[in-house]
Amino acid sequence: MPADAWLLLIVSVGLGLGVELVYMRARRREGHMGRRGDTGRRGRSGDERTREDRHP
Amino acid sequence: MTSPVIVGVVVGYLLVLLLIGLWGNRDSHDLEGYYVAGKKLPAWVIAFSSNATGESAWLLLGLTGMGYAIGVHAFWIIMGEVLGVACAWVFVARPFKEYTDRYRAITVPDYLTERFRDESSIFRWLSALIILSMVMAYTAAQLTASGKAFDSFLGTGYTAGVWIGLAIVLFYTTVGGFKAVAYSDFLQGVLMLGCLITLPIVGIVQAGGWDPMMDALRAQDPALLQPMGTYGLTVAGVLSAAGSVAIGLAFLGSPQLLTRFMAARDQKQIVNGGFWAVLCVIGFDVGAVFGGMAGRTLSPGLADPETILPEMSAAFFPDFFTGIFLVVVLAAIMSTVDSLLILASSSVVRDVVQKALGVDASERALSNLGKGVTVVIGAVGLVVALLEVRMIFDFVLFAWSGIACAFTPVVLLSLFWKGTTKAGAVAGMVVGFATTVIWVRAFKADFYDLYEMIPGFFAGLLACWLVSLFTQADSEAVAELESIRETVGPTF
Repeated sequence: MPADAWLLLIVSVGLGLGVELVYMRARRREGHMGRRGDTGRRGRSGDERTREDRHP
Repeated sequence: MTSPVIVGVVVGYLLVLLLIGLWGNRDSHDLEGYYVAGKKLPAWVIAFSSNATGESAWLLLGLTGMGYAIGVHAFWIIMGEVLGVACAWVFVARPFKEYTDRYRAITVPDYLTERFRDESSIFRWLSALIILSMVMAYTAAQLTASGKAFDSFLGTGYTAGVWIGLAIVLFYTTVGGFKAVAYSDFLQGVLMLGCLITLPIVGIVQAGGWDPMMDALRAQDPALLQPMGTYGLTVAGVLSAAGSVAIGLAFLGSPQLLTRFMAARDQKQIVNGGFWAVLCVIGFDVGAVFGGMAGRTLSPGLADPETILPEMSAAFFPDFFTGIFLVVVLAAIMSTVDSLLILASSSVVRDVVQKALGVDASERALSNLGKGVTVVIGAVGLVVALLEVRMIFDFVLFAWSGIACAFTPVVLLSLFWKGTTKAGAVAGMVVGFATTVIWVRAFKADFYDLYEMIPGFFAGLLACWLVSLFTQADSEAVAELESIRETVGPTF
């Protein structure tokens, strides 16, 4: 397969995969730093705040 | 004569689906259970379910057909899809999940109504209109694929194939609701991935290896190995590539895909699910394109490129695996039709009947109504499929873009821009959808056949942004967006 076709294939796969990997790394770093993100939330989360809170 | 092994494999698979339907039934007696599986789904289910829903028979028949017809030029589709899936999970999923949990939303119109503090139900009515019209077209295209698949593999005849496909999917969707839909999608996604990894490997081996395959493709048509295909580096070529990449935009806001995020058990499932979703779509798309390319060397004179998968399976696999391939095609069809039926049903029952019209009925009665509506919508899709036989790839792309252009620009702006207003959102939905339809009917053929997703998406985005600039955002909604951002945190 020509080099330009290989390049297109690598970029096609790599762009999206790269975005996801960077994101996962950021989430893991957040988890190691103990920041409230995925497992704990700073504000009132969906579990705590409901529509009734806004429309009593 | 049809092999009993193939029939046996297909019957076995269909029985598994029926059992999944029955298993899902116990959780489908209220609206939250019927439409979002009670918001209890784990990461691996939402990852595979999302991809299986998004891909459909288009992947197995349409994209393999594209690999057959245009070779390397189909890589632009891979780029769009992989990037689209990744961006959806990375940027959209978590804030959308947070919003919909706070609102206890179970549909995208639920979300839009609360997000913009709408008291008039305009989002519900507009969404129902768009979703119903596009779902009919999309479902008809998938049932067309079902007819073609059954006829190609088993010689049942097109009409019987359409009926069988619809009957099975209607049963498990109606009886089992979203839980059955999601778990059957997971099974179907695994089967699809297995098929699309196996097919190109076997195809390349049968072609004599990688280099002989490439040599054969080059000998047939050198453009098959060129990124810009037969167009070359021209306006038409660039627009064709752009249109292919634009297919991925729909992953960022199509309601049938966003439902998976709503149905996740918690935020952690979304973080974990994204990686598997991206790997899955890479496997799907790369496998499909290379499978089609291998098929081009093995069966160069096919009248309909969309039959290359059944052709290859019949030629190079024993009956048992040919049965598996038919099952996979059916899996791809059903994993999309089931989600579309649930989407359209929720639009009618939840958004229009319960919320817009304010009908006071028990959750059980409404979920039963939802099941009835599911059957009716499926029946309409059947009638359309029986009346017209269209090329799967083009019809699916039209319906895909119609839904996407109505919702994606508005969903994106609503999640990320505090200046988005209710009027802007309505304008975005109407203009995005209308542009898609008008472009296809009036302009596409005269403008390099540019895929309608591009003008539709950008017109919707522009309309939403412009109208929002001249109208006032609700202050409570602005504060809420900031609260959501604080809760979810930065993306990177």
